[in-house]
Amino acid sequence: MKIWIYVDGRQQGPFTLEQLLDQPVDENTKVWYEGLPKWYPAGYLDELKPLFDGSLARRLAQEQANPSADAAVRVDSADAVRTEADDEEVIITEDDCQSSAGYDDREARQENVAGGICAPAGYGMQSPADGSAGMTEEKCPPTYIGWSVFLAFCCCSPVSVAALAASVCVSVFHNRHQAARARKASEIAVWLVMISFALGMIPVVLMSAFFGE
Amino acid sequence: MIPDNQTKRQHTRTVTKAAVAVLVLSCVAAYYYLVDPSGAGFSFKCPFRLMTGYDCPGCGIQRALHSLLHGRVAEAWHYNAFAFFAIPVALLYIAAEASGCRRLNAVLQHPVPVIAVFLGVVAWWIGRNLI
Repeated sequence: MKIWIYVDGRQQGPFTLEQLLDQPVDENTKVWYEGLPKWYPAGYLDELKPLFDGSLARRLAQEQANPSADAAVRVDSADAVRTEADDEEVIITEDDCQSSAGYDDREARQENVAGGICAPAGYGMQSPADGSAGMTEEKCPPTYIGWSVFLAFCCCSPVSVAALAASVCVSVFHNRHQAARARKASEIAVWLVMISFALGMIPVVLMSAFFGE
Repeated sequence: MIPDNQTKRQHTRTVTKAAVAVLVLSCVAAYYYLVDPSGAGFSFKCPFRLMTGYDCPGCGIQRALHSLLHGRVAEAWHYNAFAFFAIPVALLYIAAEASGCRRLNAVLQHPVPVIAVFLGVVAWWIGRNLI
């Protein structure tokens, strides 16, 4: 199963269930895999239960301790999945993509990935701008407005007003669900804040040294 | 397991940030309590005012802080009235962003308060130079 996760304000993946153990995923992390109509909190999905109740970690530990016995079990379960997949493929041909949740036929899935048939908005292959559309609630990128205002008052630099304008852009773009633009504006805002700090602080110190009494 | 560790790490980071902020703020307060910026001796000058002759949004803030720390509120208000709103608002925003609290940020980062803050600062800057 290929699983995409939404962490640090962007989509990451695909991961297998086992790989998710090493990712910063908790019950509230938004996840998506093929068959889901939209992104869900990980704790909401039965398929991801083993990740949180410790059974997956226990199984991996067991596998490490006793690899040969488990290999046989895995072959068995793989066969079972294959049979299931063959059964379900009939349903797929009937153009009912949503019912493909459990099936595991790689080729068919690749096709779907390329065609984007099953993917909801917010699928891993799409650009971040489109990707945000599928998120129910997305985190606003930092606007740095606090720093902009602070510097406007404490650094005497007109650049901080530009930083403030960039902060406004972040907020407005985020409100319009234009995630990529909001992120870009956030990057510009942080640069303007740093430039404003440098341009403010250096003259403040130099001019105070020359003109101060 | 994972969520617990993450929460703990976040908690430690928040406490560290808060401790550093309190330390810096108390150093600033101590400096401006002891030093009178309008008096004799070294003081930080505003380069914008030296170059253009106009006030920047923050001009008078050092004198205002000094007066405020000595309990002279009216005098502080006279030096830089808007700083009474702007500095608490700025600190609130910085703290909210640093804490990462989702609900608080959703309210504060909404375009309405953000644009209000922006217009407030610009209006103050222009207005104080006209009067």
